[in-house]
Amino acid sequence: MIETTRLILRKPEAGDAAHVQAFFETERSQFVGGPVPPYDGWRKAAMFFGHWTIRGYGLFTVERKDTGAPIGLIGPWFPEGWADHEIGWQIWRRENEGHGFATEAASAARDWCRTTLGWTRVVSYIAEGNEASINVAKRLGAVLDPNATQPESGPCLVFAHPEAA
Amino acid sequence: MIPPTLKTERLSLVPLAERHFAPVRAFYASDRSSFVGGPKNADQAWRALASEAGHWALRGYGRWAVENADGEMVAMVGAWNPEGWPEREIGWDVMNGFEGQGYATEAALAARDWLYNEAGWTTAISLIADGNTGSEGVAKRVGAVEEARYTHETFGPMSIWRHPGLSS
Repeated sequence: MIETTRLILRKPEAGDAAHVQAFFETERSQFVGGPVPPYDGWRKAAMFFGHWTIRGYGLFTVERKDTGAPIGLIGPWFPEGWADHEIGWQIWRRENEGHGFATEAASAARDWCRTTLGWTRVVSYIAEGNEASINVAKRLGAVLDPNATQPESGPCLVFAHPEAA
Repeated sequence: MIPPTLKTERLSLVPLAERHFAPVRAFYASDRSSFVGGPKNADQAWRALASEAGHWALRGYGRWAVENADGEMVAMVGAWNPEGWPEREIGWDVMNGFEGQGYATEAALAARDWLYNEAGWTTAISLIADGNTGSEGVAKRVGAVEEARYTHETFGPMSIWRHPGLSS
């Protein structure tokens, strides 16, 4: 578990799947593979959980300390076909956007990946046009790396995170 | 939850892990996977494997990697019940090169025993795509009978096979 000023990052629990499924039914998921029917949304949730089983780490569920509510998935992501280790983020509901939660959680997750997993080069893959996510990457100090190897899933913007201080 | 390990005469049913990706990738790369949503490329096969592993976390049951005495993965067998599924299913995929040796039957019986005795199931189905005669043979050998037709929005028309119940 990781704690920041306003957030808790914890391993996903079964109850989080409904949030993932709901997110992937909305247009808000358009830059991360959605929207998709409930069957596929559930399978994506299972995949996020199973990444932990297969790799030993994965996206954390992020909870707000003030409400206790889970608001999204943020953290290390490294499926087959990824050229570099990634920090990914998804905030499920619009009401939790615009507060800097993704930036706060991703920053803490990035530190954790460096110290616990020993990651050095870290990127974020972002679909073109996903301005909210591009802004998070920039606030994290990541810069567009036009020479980076693209993931095999298809072309996207690759933001490289700064080396550890 | 961490899946239990089950033993049969020739096989071990063990939790899915990273080492099982190579055989799963090979299975999904082949036309043999055409009855279960394949073929899939390596990326998609990895995600399918991760979904199978995550199924345990979401449902408390799922499918196992089935290994022989040499530690080779010969099949993926067990419970499958994603969102929108018609009913709780027992499924089996035999990995390439391990067909025709009764491994799916042996593992499915062990999996069904565990699901009935430890996971609270009292009945189970298996969904089998039209033309998948190998899988139909397994269904018959474990005592299941063809019961009804079913069409899935992604996977198309198939048959529902009903397993013997808990008390049978």
